[in-house]
Amino acid sequence: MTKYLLKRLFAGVLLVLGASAILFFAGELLPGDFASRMLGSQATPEAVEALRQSRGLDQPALTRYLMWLGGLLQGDLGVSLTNGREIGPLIATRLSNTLTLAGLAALVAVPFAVGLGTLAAMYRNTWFDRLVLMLSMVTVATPEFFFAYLAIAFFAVQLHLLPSISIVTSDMSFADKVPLLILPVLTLVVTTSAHMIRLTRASLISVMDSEYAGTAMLKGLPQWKIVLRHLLPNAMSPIAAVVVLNLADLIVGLIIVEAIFAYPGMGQLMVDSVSKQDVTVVQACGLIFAVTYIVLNMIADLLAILLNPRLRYKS
Amino acid sequence: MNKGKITVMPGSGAMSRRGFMSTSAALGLALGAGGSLLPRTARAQSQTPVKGGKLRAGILGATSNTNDPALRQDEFGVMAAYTTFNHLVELKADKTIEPELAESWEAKPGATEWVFNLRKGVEFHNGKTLDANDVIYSINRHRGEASQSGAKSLMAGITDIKALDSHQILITLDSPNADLPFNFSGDHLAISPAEYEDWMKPVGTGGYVQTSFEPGVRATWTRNPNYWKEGRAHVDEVEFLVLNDPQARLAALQSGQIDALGLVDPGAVDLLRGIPGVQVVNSAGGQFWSYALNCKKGPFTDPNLRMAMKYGLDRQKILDLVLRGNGALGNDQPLPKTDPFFNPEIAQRPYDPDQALHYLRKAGMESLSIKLDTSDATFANSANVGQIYAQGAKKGGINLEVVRQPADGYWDQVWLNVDHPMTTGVWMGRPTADMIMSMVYASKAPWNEAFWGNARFDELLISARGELDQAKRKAMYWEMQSLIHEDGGHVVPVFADFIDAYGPRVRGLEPSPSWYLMGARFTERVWLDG
Repeated sequence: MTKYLLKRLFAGVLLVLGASAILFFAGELLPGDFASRMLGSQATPEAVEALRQSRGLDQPALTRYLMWLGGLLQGDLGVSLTNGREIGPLIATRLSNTLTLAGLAALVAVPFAVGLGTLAAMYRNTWFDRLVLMLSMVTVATPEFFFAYLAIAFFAVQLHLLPSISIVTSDMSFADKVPLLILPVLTLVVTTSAHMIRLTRASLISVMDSEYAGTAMLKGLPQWKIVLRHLLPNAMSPIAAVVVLNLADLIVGLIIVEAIFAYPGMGQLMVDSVSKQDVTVVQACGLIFAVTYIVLNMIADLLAILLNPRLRYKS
Repeated sequence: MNKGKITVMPGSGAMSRRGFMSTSAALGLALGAGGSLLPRTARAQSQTPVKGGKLRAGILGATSNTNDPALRQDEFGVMAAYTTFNHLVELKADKTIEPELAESWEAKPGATEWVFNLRKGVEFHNGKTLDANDVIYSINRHRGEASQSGAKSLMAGITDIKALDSHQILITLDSPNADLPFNFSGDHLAISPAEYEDWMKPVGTGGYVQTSFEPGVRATWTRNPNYWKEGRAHVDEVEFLVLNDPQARLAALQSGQIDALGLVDPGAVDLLRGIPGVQVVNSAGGQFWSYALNCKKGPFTDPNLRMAMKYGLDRQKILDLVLRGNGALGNDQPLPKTDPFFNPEIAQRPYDPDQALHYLRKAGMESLSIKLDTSDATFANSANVGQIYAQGAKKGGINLEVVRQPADGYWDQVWLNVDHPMTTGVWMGRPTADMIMSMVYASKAPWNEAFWGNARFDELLISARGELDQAKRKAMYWEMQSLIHEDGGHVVPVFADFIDAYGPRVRGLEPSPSWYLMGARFTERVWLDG
């Protein structure tokens, strides 16, 4: 168990390192240059060179990569190319906004999806089950941006019920933020739930046909009790894995949702910085997303072990 | 100018007072919801301004935005400049200038020395009183080798600035410039207190005091209680929300979350006009699209082939299909009809494939194949516009291969690259004929995208710049337009209107030829109803 954990951790560190290298050198390959874009009318070769030098870009790429890694180990994310400000504090507020949004979406989506999947399994092959299956099929095929626009068109433009722009500020209380968060959360819930619903249903159905389920039924236990006490715990392992993986997808999917609702989170910051070719900010954001993804994947693996006695005792 | 949206400078284009009166009915104020709203709004427009309310605008911006006048960029930078700050002069709708922080000015004979008299008793937001040192500091920030300012080239002709007394300055130039005061209307030339550098908390003399600034997210202002300018700055609070997604911008206006939106896509105008309460304002100005034919290398060194390209373009089709009528036909030269120096004697060049073929044959060719570089970095749908060009040009024996270049790196690598025979560009127009011609058409111009060089043109440009006699200047600018029109390497398809949209409560709206949202001065000019 410990050996496995260590192996997994080591692989995770390697993955993060690999991601950082890809992010850094992909940034190097981007056409264009922040300095000439920023200087605009003043983009004479000398001015561009001076600005590049002032941001340390005259060093060779490998040196800069190693310096960047060194900074990261000390918790220093570097400075933004365009405005020269520290990236750390800039990302801090954005990250907390993103986590708020993602956390709320997960808080709604997970119980909703697992509950709906369970109900669909219990009422297998009824009209309810078919409806759930069909709707989840539709939402899985709907890109986030499309659903976001639909939600805006209906709830904001037609009904004037909810705001279409979700610009939250630090001086707002949580209660002030709630109406602004409803549409982005709704979009995220709808687009991430489908997988979880379908997998919950499928896992439950696969254990429903097992002999102990039949025995429990013959004992005369009510169906809800069978599902909650006997079936769900046994189906939990794949469900937990897919839930965590979907949370990872959710965080990555935030980029689009944040951009559409102008929500001041990490995703919007990243889109913003890409358009200004502020490569250092893009790299920092990208790395945080990559770490989140890798950590959640590890958690999914660990959960699979913890919830499955066979895997737990194997090592 | 151009290079994306970086150095957009209000104070361009043109619309004379007469032009404004006659065209405003047709394209000035088009109101949503058909006729029913028209009388109400028309009545409201004539009402006297009322104070109060909160004006919210959706603005294009980014995390890299700053209040620093030298480094500001994007729509956010320009709009914020005219909200927080004042300038020495204010550009008017008829393309003349009126005093702002400078009360009066005068050129000494020869136009290399200029004296500006500053307004007395003007207070900055921090209580300091405006004097010559503040103005000198604000101008000097754009000068010198180390300057990274967007107005560096604009100020490059200044050799010396000194205070004659506490409210009078003398500016000395390296060569005569009759248009110097116009240079001080641009957004970069905002006046801040001497030695002031805390751009997260900017201090100006403008109608509103900035109260919060989150780059790339939003900014807020409250009315400056001591504002010196009479009849301006009517609302209590101003809020800019940074909105970049095109659909989200329109939805925010439709759902009433914002009151003002600039840079409206012509394709969305018909939709907006159909929405009750939404007011769409078109401003005809100097914004034009351009196709630059490389006069230094490749086929277009032959003037006949340039002529063939000019006749092979169906301008009307682009105006109808892409701009949906929100603009005017281009005539292969940079001045719009409303510019004081516009030359009306140059006939509109028609779409004529036979003429194109005629010039092709004159160059000894039966057909011409050429690559046209387009990119979304220039204007929306530029690849589709290129296709319309290609379709029409085909009948004249010209095969245009439209290449869609990625927006990233277009300005740096494709445009102004001498190995590309034909590129697409966009120009916002400038307050004066001299500015746009010096920037794009002079043989040594920094953005001579067509690599065109004409000795007679260069000579006229210098003479006209220093000429204080308006009649003589006019003759020179007329000749320069003819030279560009006949010999130049630019094909100009259309002038595109600046299109803005406002919510139902906004009053005091009028078109402005210089830029979006009333030449970026909407915050101090509009008021809110009820």
